[in-house]
Amino acid sequence: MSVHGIELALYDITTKSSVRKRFVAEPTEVLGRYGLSRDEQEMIGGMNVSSMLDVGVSPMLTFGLWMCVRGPQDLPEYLNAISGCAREAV
Amino acid sequence: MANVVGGFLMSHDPLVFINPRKIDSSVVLAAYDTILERVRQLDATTAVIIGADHYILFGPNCLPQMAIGIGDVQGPIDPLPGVERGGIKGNPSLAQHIMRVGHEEGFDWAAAKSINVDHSVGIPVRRSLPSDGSVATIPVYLAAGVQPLIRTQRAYDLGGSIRRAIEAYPGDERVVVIGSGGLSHWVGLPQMGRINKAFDKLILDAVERGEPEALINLTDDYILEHGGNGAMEIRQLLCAMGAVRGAGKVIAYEPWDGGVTGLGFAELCVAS
Repeated sequence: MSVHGIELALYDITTKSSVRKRFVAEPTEVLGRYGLSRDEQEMIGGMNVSSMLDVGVSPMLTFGLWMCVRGPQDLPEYLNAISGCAREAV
Repeated sequence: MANVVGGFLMSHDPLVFINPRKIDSSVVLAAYDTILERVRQLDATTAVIIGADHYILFGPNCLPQMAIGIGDVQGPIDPLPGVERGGIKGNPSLAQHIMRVGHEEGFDWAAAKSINVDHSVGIPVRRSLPSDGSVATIPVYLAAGVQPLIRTQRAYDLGGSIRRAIEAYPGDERVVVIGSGGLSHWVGLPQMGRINKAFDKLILDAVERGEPEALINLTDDYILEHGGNGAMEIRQLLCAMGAVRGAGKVIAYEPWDGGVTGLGFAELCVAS
């Protein structure tokens, strides 16, 4: 697929509560709807936000995913998860 | 005849309200209250609020450069402690007029007939407009958080179109224009939490001098390095500056420890 496909999946997960609930319960089933490669599905399912940033996914979505799934109190863990990322772009 | 009677710039960091580190935010909240009081003193009837989408309202299937809410308004869609949600009084007549004038002038507005605004518009509405609905809201979105971004010159010029439309409107409206955008902040990036006071001063000094060119001429590479991806929201400030056209006065600047943004608040003087 492409970074746009990853972004579409993340956009749906972060903005549509029904998709988000299904993603938390059955990530493989939800991610299978987007035509993503196995690596891309594993990246999202594993909440590998650092890798997502490395391939060019919008940080608005990686941050949004973490906040939606883990909650706003989990900000320090998000920062730990992306600490090795070199990404600086929008 | 309608007029622009005032303008304001403000930040919209959600962490001010979530406040996960439980740090005193009273100074920041007081800045929103100061603007609320000024809106009352100006006897405003409508606020045009220029916000930035954060990949919340608009998805990969369609990313408008500029969008305006011309019908029903509600929000904010993203819940925040202490920020009321629900219906927001709109001004469809003036909003549609601004859109039509813009289209005639070559600004290709995308129209939202029903919009559930995010925090960039919702925070100004709920914290700096009277809660009795006496001031209607016209939400505007400029692409500043998700590529492709609107160009800074275009954002400023759009503000001029908004101003011309308001002044050509036959209704008796007193309009304030609010640019809702952050100063330095890195959203979702490893530098998140860094605040660059020198960059923030550069922006606010230009606001106080009434020199939009100083902001228009900043390259995106420079902004990204010194102000972060969140500082692309100077587009929101520029649009308001283009509508109000006068120099500004800083109300407050707080590099607040509880958030991730240099928090700036300013009032813009209306120039003829």
